[in-house]
Parts: sequence; structure tokens; C-alpha cells
Amino acid sequence: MFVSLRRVIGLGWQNLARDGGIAVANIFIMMIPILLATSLFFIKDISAFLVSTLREKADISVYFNDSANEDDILKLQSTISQIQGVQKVDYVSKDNAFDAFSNRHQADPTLMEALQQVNGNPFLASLTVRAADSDQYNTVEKLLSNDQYKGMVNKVNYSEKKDVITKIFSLTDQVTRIGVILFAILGVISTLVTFNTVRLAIINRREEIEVQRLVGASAWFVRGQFLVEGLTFGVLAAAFCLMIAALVCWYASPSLGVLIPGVNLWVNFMASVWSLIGIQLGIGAFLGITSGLFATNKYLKI
Amino acid sequence: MIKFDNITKIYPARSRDAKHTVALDSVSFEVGQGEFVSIVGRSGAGKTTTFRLILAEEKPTMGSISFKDRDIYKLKGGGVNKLRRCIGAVFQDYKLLPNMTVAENIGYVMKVIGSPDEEIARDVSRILEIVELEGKANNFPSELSGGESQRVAIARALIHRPEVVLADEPTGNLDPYHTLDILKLLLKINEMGTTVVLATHNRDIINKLKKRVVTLEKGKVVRDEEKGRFAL
Repeated sequence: MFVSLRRVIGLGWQNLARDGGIAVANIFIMMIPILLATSLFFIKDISAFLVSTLREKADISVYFNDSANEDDILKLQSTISQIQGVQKVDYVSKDNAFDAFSNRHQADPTLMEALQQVNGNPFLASLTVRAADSDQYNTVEKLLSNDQYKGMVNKVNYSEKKDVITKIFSLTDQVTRIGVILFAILGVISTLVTFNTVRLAIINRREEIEVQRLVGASAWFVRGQFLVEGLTFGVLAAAFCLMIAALVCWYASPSLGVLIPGVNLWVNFMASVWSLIGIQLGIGAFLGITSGLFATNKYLKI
Repeated sequence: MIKFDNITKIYPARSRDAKHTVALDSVSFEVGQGEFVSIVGRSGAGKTTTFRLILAEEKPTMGSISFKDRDIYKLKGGGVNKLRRCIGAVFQDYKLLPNMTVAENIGYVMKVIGSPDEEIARDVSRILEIVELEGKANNFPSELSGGESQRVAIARALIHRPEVVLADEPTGNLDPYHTLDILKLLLKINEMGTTVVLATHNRDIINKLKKRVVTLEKGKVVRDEEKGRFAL
């Protein structure tokens, strides 16, 4: 049995090596769906980063009257934090707000002079609330309109931002959904193209399959050679795709980092290289083996 | 060794306007061990169908074919492969594997049956001497002439010492010089004890051979003569 297996593998590689042109074509075709999956792998991470960055900008600020007690504000902070979906509630005291403003604008003498002329601290203590979904902001706004907080709260800027926040969440949801659908469609198309191309290459060799069967080779002896070829194409295609992915990530990382601050493509690549190898090899092997199986089954009915 | 018992083979029509084709009609004959039998007939007489049935490429519509007293069509998958390994087949269009050298083409059958590499190398060398192609072992089929290709096909058919060689129009694509070479080879094989069944429509070949002739006409056996002549 091992002799037969060794011979099947040897014959598969021999066929591959001797039909170089078709081998190269099959490898290139298999690279298409693998590269598509690799792109999706990185785009998914980048778009998740972009979506969360955008959503972080959607927040609401609650400003408190001077008369509001800090302990009460901190209790309110704790209450809001416990609402499901609220990710973060930051408290900025009057003094911290004043210091932050001064530090930010210390190079601007006009603003600093205006601040001195105001006499005192014009800033209000505030809570900044960030949530995972726009619905949670409605919940927070409702909470703040309770009678127990009316005396404390000076202003909630949610109603001014409400439309923008809703649009941001809706847009990012749609972008994610469309991205997934688009990639699914392209993935199916490229996989079908790959299957068809490998199938056509095997159809070209149907006479060879027929001859092998007529001299007494079993179906698996013949099929095995094509599976070995298909698997080898898949693995080689995956290897080339990994090299291309590494090159693109290394080259594009600095430019992308400028365009989208916080994104480091090369670091992302290195961190997930083993997952990527697994995905690419898996897709390559699947395509190679299944296209070989489907195509040879048709011609192994002698 | 091979027994056709009332074999009928009908190919159904593929379109509404066409009629079905009766390739063989109640054909019965036997081929004994060590015989040299020529099956003669015009194109379309049923010669190739006869061979396809022996190799279990097709199933008869009626009747049975037995090889060494075993019904071919009762063999399961593995049994069909074993049957084909007992037969050496030579085709008009050679049917060589284009991506393999002459030596690899000839040795392929032995690889299939699991022979050790040393035995394959030794037997390939021996058979190349018999067919006089020692210098062509590393050539590919595309680099051979018609006569050489057919000799490689015969070598492949012989290497595993089959009990029967089926030769379907082996000289159909060859000139008279190479035709004679191939015939001599087939006769030599038969003298060594292998049963040979040759299908041809070449009058000169038949008249030269002076062996048993089974004549087919429109799918029927019309004559079966020892030391027969071409008479269509």
C-alpha cells in the first residue's frame, strides 16, 4: 500500500513538473480567491478600527451647574456606567476643565488674556458618555431628564448631536454589511472560476485518464495523482499569496499609517501571520483537492 | 479463454430523428489459449465494439462474455481492474501517455500492479530489446515515429506478461514497411504462447498471416475459418 501511495505521489508531481505551463496557470487562478480572502482578513481589521474610531467620536456630554455636588456627580457617573451598552463615562471636574483648556491654548495670548479677564473658572464640570449603540444614548438622555437630576444638570448636548450620531451608527452598519456581501459574492465567483479552470485542465487530460484505466489502474490510483497535483497547486498558490501579502503590508504600512493614524499594517501582519498561513493553506488545499475530485469523477466511470 | 455467448450490443439513438445502432447481433465465438485470431470486417462491422466489450469498457445489451470461464460483467470494480491487467491492449491511435517517457509508458502497468522498481527497470530493458527500441527509452511519445509509437504500445501491452493481447487496428496508421514489422512482432508474441486477437480490415495482412479468421459483417459473424482468407 505504501508503495502505491509513494507511486501516486511521485506520478502526481511528475505530471505537474512536466506540464509547467498548465501548472503555472492553475497556480495563478488559485491565487485569486486566496488573495481575496487575505484582503478580507486585513480589511476586516482596518474597517473595525475605523468603525470604532468613528463611533468613539459619537458621544454625549453632560454639563453640571456650579452648585452640583461632586459626590452626586460621581454617583451619577456610576449609575450611567451600569447601563447596558455604555462603554465609558469620563468625569472632568471644573478645575480639570480649566487646566485642560489652559494647557491646550497656552501659546495663544489672546485666549489666555480673555480667560484672565473672565475672573474665575467659567468652565463646568462634565461627564462624557460613550456607548456601543445609539439606543443607549436615548436611555442616558431619559435618565438625565429625571427630576432627581434636573437641579444638577445644566446642559446635555445629545439632542444637538442625535441625528449625526444615528447616521454614524447606521452608516457604519451598512458599510460592514455591504462589505461582507460583496466579499461573499466575489469569493463565490472567484472560487467557481478556479474550479472551472482546473476542471478544464483535467478535461484536457481525459484521454490520459482513460488510458490509465484501460491498462488496469484503479480509480483511486488515477484520482490520487490529480489530487496530489491539485493539492500542490493549492499549497504553492498559498505560498505565493503569503509573499505578496508580506510585501504589500511592509510597503503600504507607512503610507496607511499616515492616512489612518493608529493602523499599523505590518505589525498587524506579523501578529496574525500564523492565522493567515492557516487560512491561505486551508483555502488552497480545499480548492486544489475538491476541484481535482469533481473533475476526475466525471472521467473515471470507465 | 475468451467466450462470446450470443452477444448483442445496441447503441441507443441520441436524437429523435436518428435510429439506434446495432453494433453486434447475436455474436458467438470462442478464442482458445495460445490462438492467433483475426477479426475482420469493414469499418462499422463491430470489431472495436468487440474489443471494448472484452475490456469491460461497455456492457452488452444481451448475452454474456467470459474470460477464463468467469463472466466479465459479474466482476466488481476491483475485478475489472484485475481483468484489464491480464490483457495487453494495443490501439490504432497508440494511446501513449504524453507526459511520460517511453520507459515510463512501458513500465506504467507494472507500477499499477505494484511491482518493485528494480523488476520494472529490468523488464522494461528486456522488452525494449524485443521491440528494438533500446535507444529510445528516455524519449517522449511526441518524439517518435508512428512505427516506433506502435512498438512502444505493444511493449506496454506485453511487459506484464499478459495472457491475451488485443490489437485493434495496430497498423491502421502505419506505412507497409512498419506494418510488416508489427505483424512479425505479433506473430513472435504468439509463438511465445500469448493469445493474440487482432482486429483489422487490411486484406494483405490477413492473407499473409494464414491464421484463423472471424469475419464480421453488419454486427454478425458471417464466417469463422481456420487459416482463413480475407473475403468481404
